[in-house]
This record gives sequence, C-alpha cells and structure tokens, in this order.
Amino acid sequence: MKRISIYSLFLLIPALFFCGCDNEALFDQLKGSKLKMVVKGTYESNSPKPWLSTVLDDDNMTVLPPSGIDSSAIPSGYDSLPTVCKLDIAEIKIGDERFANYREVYQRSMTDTDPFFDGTGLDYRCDDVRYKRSYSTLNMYMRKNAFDNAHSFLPSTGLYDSLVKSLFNEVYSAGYDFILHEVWSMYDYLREERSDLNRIYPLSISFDTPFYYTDDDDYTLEVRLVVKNYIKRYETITTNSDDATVSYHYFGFSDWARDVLPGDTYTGGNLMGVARWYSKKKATTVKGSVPAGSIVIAIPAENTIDEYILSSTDRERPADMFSPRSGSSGGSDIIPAMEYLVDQEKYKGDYSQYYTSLTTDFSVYSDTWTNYNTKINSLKIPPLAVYTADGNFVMENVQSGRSYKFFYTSASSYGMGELPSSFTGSGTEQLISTDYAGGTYTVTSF
Amino acid sequence: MRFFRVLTAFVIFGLLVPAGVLSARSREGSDPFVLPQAGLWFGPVSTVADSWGVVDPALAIGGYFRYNFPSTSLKMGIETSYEKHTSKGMNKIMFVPVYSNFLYKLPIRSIMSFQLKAGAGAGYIAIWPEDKSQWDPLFTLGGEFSFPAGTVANMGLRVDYIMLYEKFISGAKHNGHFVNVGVNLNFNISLFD
Repeated sequence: MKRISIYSLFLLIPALFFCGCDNEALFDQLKGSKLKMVVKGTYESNSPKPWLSTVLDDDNMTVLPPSGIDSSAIPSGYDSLPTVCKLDIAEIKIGDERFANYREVYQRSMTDTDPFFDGTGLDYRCDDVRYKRSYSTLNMYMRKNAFDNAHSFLPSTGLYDSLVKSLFNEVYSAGYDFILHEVWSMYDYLREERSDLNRIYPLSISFDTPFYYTDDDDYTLEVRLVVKNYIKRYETITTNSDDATVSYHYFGFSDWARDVLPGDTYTGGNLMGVARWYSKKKATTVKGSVPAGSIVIAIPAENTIDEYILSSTDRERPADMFSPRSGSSGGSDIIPAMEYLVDQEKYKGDYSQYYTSLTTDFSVYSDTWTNYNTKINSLKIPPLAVYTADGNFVMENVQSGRSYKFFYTSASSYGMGELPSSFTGSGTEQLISTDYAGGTYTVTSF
Repeated sequence: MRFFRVLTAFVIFGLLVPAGVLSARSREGSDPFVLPQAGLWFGPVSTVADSWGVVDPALAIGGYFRYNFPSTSLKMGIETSYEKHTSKGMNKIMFVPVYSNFLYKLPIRSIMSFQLKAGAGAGYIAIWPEDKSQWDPLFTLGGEFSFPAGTVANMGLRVDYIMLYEKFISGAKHNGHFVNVGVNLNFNISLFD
C-alpha cells in the first residue's frame, strides 16, 4: 500500500508538465529591454543651433595668458576650437537603480552632422526599470571628460612645450582629461563636508516631470548634456614628469553658470543636463512660427520661466578668500617657485584684511555662499528646445496629455559659452491633449 | 488537447504501479542504489548558453526522493530546488524547478555508482524588473556519482542541465538554460520492509 502511494506522488509531477497555456516569454523579456535611452550633447532637443567658431579664453588664465606668449611659439592650430569631444561614462543609474550598468565611451567629432550634436542622439544601452514606480533623477557617472587641442607651455621661458596627451579609453591620445577639475566647485571646496561632495561622479540630472514606467507603451528617455556651443578655454598649472612647471591650456565647459576665477583649480558644477521621457503612442509634434533665427522652448506648465534663467547678478560669485592656487609649488623652476612664495605673502595680508572686515558672525559669509550655490543649482534646462533659422519650428517627440508653456528668444542674443538670459512669452498654459498623439499641435500664441 | 496529454501521463505511469508492487520483495541487498533514497544537494547554479549573462550565477539548494523500478539499474525520482539570481543591472530570477526523472546506473563495477538522469517537469520562474512569474515546462539531463559513507548515508556530486521551455509561446525566441553542480547527501530509507 505504501508503494502505491509513492508512485502516485510521482504521477503528479509529469502532470505539472502540461501547463503554461497563458504564459509570456519571460526569457525574451529578460534578454531585451523595452525602455530606450538616448544621449545628446545639445541644449536643444532637436534641430540645434549650428556650431559657432568663437574661441573663448577664461579669465583664469593668469600665469600665462595667450597674449604673454611669444607669438612665434604658438602653433597654428592653437586658436581654433577642438575637433573631438570625449566622454567616458561608467554607468547611468535611475534614482539608485542600476538600470544602465554599461560603460560607454564617446569620441564624437564636433561638427553639425555628428549624431551627438545634430539632435539625433546616441543610443545608450539600458535594462528595463520596475513598473509603477516614480523616478525623478538620473545619475550619470562620468569617468573622463576631454577635448582635444590642448597645449602646454613652459612659464619659465614663455615658450611652447607640446600638445597635451592624456589617457582616454586606455590609449594616450591628444587632449586633456579635466575630470578631476570638475569634482568640486569653489563652493564645495570651502565646505567641511567636501569629501562627501562630488559633482561629476555622479552627475545628477533631473527629469522635467517624474518618470512613471508602465507596461502599456514603449518609452524613451532622452538625456541632454549642454556641450554644443558651451565650451571655453582654461588654464591649469602643474608639473610634468621632468619636474618642470607647465601650464596647460585646455578646453572645458563654460563657466557661465558657476564662475571660475583666476587661480581656481576647481571648475565643477558647469556640466549641466536635463532629462525627459516620451512614449511611442503618445508622442506628438509641435509646430509654429516665430521670428527667424529664434530658439523656442517648452517648459512644464507647473514651472515658471524664472527657473530657466540666471541673471548676471545671480551668477556673480560672492567675495571669497582663496589661497593663491598657482598650481604646485613651482617645481624645479625658480621663477614660478618664487612667485608662489610672494603670492602666499599677499594671501596672508588679504586674509587678515578680509577677516577683520567680517561681522562677528561668520554666518554672513557662509549664508552668502549658500544662497549663491542654491540659486545656481536651481537653474533648469528646458526639456524641449529647438532652433529655427527661418522662423518655422518643429519640436519632435513631445509627450501629449500634458500642459506646457512656450517661449522664444533670439538665438543671437547669446553666444558661445552662454545660455539665454531672457525669453519672450506670456506663460499661458497650453494643454496638448492625447488627441494630438501621432499628429501635430500648432502653437498659435506664446 | 491538454486533457489527452494529462490522461496519457496517468496511463503510462499507472502501468508501473503493479509492476513495482510485484517485484518489491526481490530487491534486497547491500547495493544502496536499489534502496529508496531521500537527499539534499547544495551548489552553484548558472544560466548558460543562450541565457548566459542575463543574470549572475548563484547558489542553489535542492532536495529529492528516489524509488526503484523492478530493475537494479533504473530508478525514478522527484526533485525540487530553489535558486535566486541577481545581476549587476536590474535583472533578477527566482527559479523553483519541480520535476521527476529517471536514473540509470551505469554498469561499472565499483563502490561508486555512476548515474545518468533524464527527466521533465515544471519550473516556477519569477523575473524582475518586470515583476512577472509563471510555471513553464522544463526538461532536464544530468549525471551524478555517489559512494556510500556508512550504512545509511551516501555522498556524491551531481551535474544537471535544465532547459526551461518557452519557445512554444507564440513570438518567443529564447528558452532558459541552467546548469547546476552540487554536492549530494542522501540517505537510504528502509521503511517499507
């Protein structure tokens, strides 16, 4: 009898075999991903303003400003923009979740036709994220940022040294990797908790509205870094392998938002970005007419235009007491070394003067810095922006079922390394209903 | 269609019941293979082949029960195990196979017994980040060897390949493939004599 009961147990198992009539292909879903992510290097979401050719020199070039160099020593390619933008991204997280734990190395040519700079964007591999959860931030972990056309000079002689080469994608190639300068900004450097702060690992990019993922549609995340027409040349003093002081002139991101002053080592907080999402079924196109040569933007209706603008007063850096950070102690070159010692004496004098001018409460100094940092941090990049040469603009992949406010400004009102500081528009909320999905919505008034 | 498949399974295995009852008395002896055995195993498990890289390898634990056929070389067993895989990204798998298999002992004269296994059953698979779970049919092949450690216990090693069959679903392009390797410990049970 007991043996019969044993066999009947065995009978159950093959019966389970005959199941699965309503099943889904789970391994197909594990191996693939319905969610897509696209990375772009432009302020505009599509149709970006063409590259300007201005080479901007920052005022932090003091030890060896270009005017001080013997002109016969400057190579012919010095005064042109770089040609290659290099970004080495370790991974991108959504909130805290590792949905894009894949390294991407970008070496994009800085032309109007490269997909990174022409509004198309580059696909970034990602997994699916969990359904029915709300995500508000993307964290991009930058390993290296570099532009080519970086040059090094010898301050002791004022002569040209060589092209700067640094390690990128495991190869020594032309360009200076300035990622370590972007770790902090001046504000972070003054803080006691600076060891916990890192502005570039990760680079925190917010969605314009939180991303809520559901199974019913194919979603695309668009991440934009403001790189095109937003670069400037900086200087950094260091010693080379022969222990000689060298001055590197390298291209980095513009300090329009967070000013970099003479002597600053840290230029962080200047790589800005924005993220938005749209779905295949609900995406629509927005068209309209504005004066020729304009930039048209659309912001979420719940925000105001002031959140997308920084005035020149907002961007004015508070008085700070900075030590003379003329690079290293000068190395083996006697003149930079002696200059450094003189700068140290001046610093002592400046510091005493500054300290006595402070009120009894140090919080005035710290509050001014905190308010400055908060204001700059609050700058948002519009989720949708297009450039139009002839006045007829087309915004692509606009998520319908939401309300937006539309504004425009002249594209020539701001140049290389700047962002618009004013917009025209009444700020009327315009609802783009889902009836327009797959079609076109025309903006008739701003 | 489904009814006929279930009916066939019952008929085939139902015929083996009287055969087992009739031959029970003749199976006495010191060969542990002919005794009923219950055991546990523990070891690493990994997705392989087409499913490689979807998740990272993990540790699994399993249990089984085996009973003899009217033959000193053939046994039938039921097995189950549990494993949970994570990965460096978002993918996670929890997998509980439940299956029955035939074991054939290779006619090698040795204190160790070498067995080949083949079987079928069903597997409960739950995946993340999609948060979905279902039962899928599975097929398995494997091998193990074991040697007696004392009069009651046997120890050994096992290797199994499990294929989780999903291609019957319209539109599916992939099956799931797992391989596990484990250390076995089982006990001879003399309950029925």
